[in-house]
Amino acid sequence: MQAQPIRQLGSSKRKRAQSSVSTQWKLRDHSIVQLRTKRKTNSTVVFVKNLSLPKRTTVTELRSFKRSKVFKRNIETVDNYYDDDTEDEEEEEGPTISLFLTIPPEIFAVICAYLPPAELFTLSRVCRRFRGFLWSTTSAVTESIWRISRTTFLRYPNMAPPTGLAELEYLRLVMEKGCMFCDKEDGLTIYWEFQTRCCIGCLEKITVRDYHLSSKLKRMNIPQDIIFGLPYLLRCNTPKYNGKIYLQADIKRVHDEYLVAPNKGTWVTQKNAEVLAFLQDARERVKDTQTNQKILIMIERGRRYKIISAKIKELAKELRNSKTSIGQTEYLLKRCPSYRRVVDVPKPFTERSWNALVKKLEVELPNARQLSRGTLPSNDEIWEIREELRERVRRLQARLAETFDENY
Amino acid sequence: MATGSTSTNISELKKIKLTSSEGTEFVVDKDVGEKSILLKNMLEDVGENDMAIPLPNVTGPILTKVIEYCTHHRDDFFISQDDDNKKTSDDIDEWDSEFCKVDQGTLFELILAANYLDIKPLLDLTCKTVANMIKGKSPEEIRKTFNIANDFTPEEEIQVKRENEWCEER
Repeated sequence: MQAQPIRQLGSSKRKRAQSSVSTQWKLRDHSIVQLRTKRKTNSTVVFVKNLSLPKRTTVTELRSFKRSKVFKRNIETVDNYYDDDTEDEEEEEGPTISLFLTIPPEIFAVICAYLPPAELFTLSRVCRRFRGFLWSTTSAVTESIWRISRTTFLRYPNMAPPTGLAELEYLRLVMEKGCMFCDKEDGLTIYWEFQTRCCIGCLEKITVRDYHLSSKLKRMNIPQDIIFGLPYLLRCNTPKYNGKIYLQADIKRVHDEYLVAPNKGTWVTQKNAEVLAFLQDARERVKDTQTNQKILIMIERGRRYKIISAKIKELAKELRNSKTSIGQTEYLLKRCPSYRRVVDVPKPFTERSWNALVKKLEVELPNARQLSRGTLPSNDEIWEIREELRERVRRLQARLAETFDENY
Repeated sequence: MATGSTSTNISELKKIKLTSSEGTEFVVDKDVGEKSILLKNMLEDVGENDMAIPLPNVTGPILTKVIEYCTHHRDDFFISQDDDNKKTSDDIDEWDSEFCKVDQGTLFELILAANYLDIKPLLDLTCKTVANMIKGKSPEEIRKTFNIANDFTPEEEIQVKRENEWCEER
């Protein structure tokens, strides 16, 4: 369905005489003034931003307003200028405003309830109005739009957002790609303890090691008490440093809280309990994220397997000879070492990797033929093996579909 | 629904009058009109009355569509919204999807009318239709479909692009 210009809010010409006319202007600040004139009552509804004009204005008032300086100064372009006195065909052609932009937020939210988060991210890039609806971290409507979308369409993340994060920030943390501090795109981890997604290099830069913390606080003239209020990440099995690390940004945040606390002693006890609970929660999220990654890898492997299998089948037709049938050639190809190496890598399979694989397989196939002489299963046996494999794949897929949405 | 079965027979015979924004009068069966929660509540408040109910926010053509919808669904038992946990937009039945094949102006007016008249199933149906028009499109395609101007400043555009970069690779 293509957009219909809305010169008039009623749709056909016949009704023009009694229905309304809409006109819009684009202001210098890119906001849009829209007005609808009800022909019958001669009352005009004006949707204005930043301009001093009552919401309901009569045509006479509007005319004088259009002549005023404040109007002329603010208007950049006039779209679909339509004067009541000169009703003619011209306005048929004028650029117009979409009715989509006039719907109130509560209806916008109803539409959003049918869209998964990825589509909402796209929608937020369409125009300022939609972005305003979707990109607030304080509005309750925005919060509920994202929450409904997440819980309806995603299996991961299905935990509620952690303390301190709005739904939008939560989804961006989980769904956006790339390090939050540099341009790196690979090898990223979500550190739930710090509510951050970054590469290992940037993690070093934004954190302080345990044995540096105390002296750093001394230098900054901050009491050691606040250590109890700092969330930390326990690094282990790393080549560089094993132990607790703290987020530098947390130091200031927690210190500010400490300064306004009336009783420092109770603050330390309370804050420490809070931090422990927060870290417990973070650990659960780490586990959840890891499980999700495992499932994603399985799905990627499945996709890859499907593509390679189809290609191997084609290849087997080419490489068969008088002694081995198509099925047997396929069987042999799938037992070549390079096939086994390639099939399990959880990355998208490209044309280039296939070409490399074919070259290797062509070398390995005669060898495999030689080795399997006399033990090669017959066509019927291969058929059985294949059926069994198919059944296993089907069962696995069913299990995946149960635990995970293919959509995501 | 809440009025119980005793009054159904009587209310089926009853007619109510509605006036669209242009002043055109529509006569509909009471049970059809009561698909609108707004009208239902109004009728309950007003009681027995022959007066036409003015609907200044709804134009004649839109009201005709709304009545068409309510008449088709007059015997449906509208499911209350808490049963609505499965929010998929591809389960629209044939009649409903035919019903929504209208120009965009009409579609959005229907949304506004459904919202104003408080007809939840119609609001859901029309919003689903709009959602389906958004799905799978890039921002530029969405702008084209709905005739929306890209009103971001160049700086904002860069910012928005960077924030949502991952969307592009889908």
